Amino acid sequence: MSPPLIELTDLSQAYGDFVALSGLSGTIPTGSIGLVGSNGAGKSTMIKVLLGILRPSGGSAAVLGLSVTEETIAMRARVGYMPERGGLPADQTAADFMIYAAELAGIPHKAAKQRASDVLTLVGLHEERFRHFGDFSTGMLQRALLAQAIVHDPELVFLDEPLAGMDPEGRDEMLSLIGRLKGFGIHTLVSSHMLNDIETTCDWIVMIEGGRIIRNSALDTLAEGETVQVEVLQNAELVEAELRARGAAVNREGLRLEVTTTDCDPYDLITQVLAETGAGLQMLRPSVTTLEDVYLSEEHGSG
Amino acid sequence: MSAEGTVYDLGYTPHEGPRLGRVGAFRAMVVDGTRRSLGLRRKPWAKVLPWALIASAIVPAAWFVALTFVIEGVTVEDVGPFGSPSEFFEVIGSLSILFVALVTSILLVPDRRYGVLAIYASRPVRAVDYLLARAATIAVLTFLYIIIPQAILFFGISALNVNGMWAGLSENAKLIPEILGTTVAFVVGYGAPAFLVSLYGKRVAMATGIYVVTMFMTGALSDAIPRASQLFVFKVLAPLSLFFNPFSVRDWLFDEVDAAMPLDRVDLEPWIGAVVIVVFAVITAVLAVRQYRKEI
Repeated sequence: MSPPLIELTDLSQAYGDFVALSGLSGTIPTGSIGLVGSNGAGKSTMIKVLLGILRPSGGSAAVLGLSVTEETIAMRARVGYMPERGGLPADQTAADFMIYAAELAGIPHKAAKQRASDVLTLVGLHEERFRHFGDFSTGMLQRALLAQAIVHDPELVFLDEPLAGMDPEGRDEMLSLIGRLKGFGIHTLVSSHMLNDIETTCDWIVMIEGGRIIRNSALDTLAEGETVQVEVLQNAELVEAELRARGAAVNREGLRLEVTTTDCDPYDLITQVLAETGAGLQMLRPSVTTLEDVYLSEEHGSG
Repeated sequence: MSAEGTVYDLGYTPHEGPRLGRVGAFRAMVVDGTRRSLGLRRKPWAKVLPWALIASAIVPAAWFVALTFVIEGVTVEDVGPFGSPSEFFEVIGSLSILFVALVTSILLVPDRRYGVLAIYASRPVRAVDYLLARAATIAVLTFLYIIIPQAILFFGISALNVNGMWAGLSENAKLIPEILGTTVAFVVGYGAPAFLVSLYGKRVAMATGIYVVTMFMTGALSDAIPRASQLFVFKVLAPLSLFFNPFSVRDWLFDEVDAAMPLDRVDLEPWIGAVVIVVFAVITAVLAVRQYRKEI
């Protein structure tokens, strides 16, 4: 059985008195992982610890089954990293730097040249491969950063705020590229404070706030149970009471109710209760729980 | 066969060949460092300074050698510092300060300034590997910068021997260890301070400037030490002449005495210059590892 992507055991990181990560524990499976949190939540620090750049103040972490402190070199040979800022020398051409980035991971020169050409084509920079990075736009630089992160064929890529500073069109292109990595057999850990971006690319979510993990779960389990929104014409209080009496969780605001059931079909239950109470139906629709809803509720809960 | 081409989407091809590990990474860093230092595969302006400095070291030596073959009756005594490997270090040593200043700052400062160290941090590379590769690049290039003109002169001086070139070569061969040892002293003696400045410099021009000014300042200050001084303060200051210490090593290896050297002025042995160079290099190495461990 292959090891999980990342294992955290009481992981802590402090800079003097400032605690950046506090007792993180949990297992993160393989796949496309979203690391969500506000600015300063500890996302970049966590990535630096997982890359073995920062030595944790306490606890331990393993990436692809390899300890980040004891087997750093072996672990780094199997990962890639797209930093949030910088990373590309202005005086070098894209082709030369990609070859160099591959060789740094031990890829022989001839294979490095081939891979450099392949990944630049993949990110849409093949035509620009002989231009210097100093002449690149922000969007091109971000794509080049992604290319260097995968040029050595890693198993896992850390992407730290990969969409920072990009225009809407560039963001879409980058999201599409990140989405394609899964098909290449490359696992991703995407750090972002933009929840919509994570929702479109990831299947597992790690929420971090104030240096603590507040949620670590599959994206499709964000909404536990099935939730339905219903609006009645009258007798909303009576409907609420009846629904609660039959085991449903209900949130009511005026004539509008949000009903969640775990052991029966909510539509059947609501239809039955409405018929019994004589409350007229104004609106009935499924309730969509977004990542933002969950983030706000979790953040509120942890605060 | 159809005349129309077929487009195949090859998609993504995983790398299934060998991986060369840290040795491959080290080699790549040295090659990349050499290219960057010399402006190779960079824009034209990046080539100007390094190649101008290389030309200023090689052209005079090559010109002298060419003259010896063209003009009859030229003797070693006629050509000043070009007639003696020991004296030629005074020419090439001063020039090598400029070369090492440029190469060291180009290799270390932009990686830090432009965040390129983050890329190294995601490769099977440790901070020590990176620093060793950079130091090796600086050492090899500076060594070649000094030794190539010396080699050209070596053959030129040998060619002036009255008994013929082969006799000259065998006669001068005994100087090879002294030439190599002195070259190493210049490489380490000038390279370590340049490395130290570049560890903290924020821009290439700034790091280069600070280093060059500091080196020549220590030279000028040491030059102010009175001759035959017995004062304790001068005995402490004299070995701190970063500029003159490689010259003291030269005097020690060539078994010469130069009363102008700061160590000689305060009656200290010239080998102390070698000790100071080594101590400075060790301090620089410790500081470099401490600084870069936070980045890679």
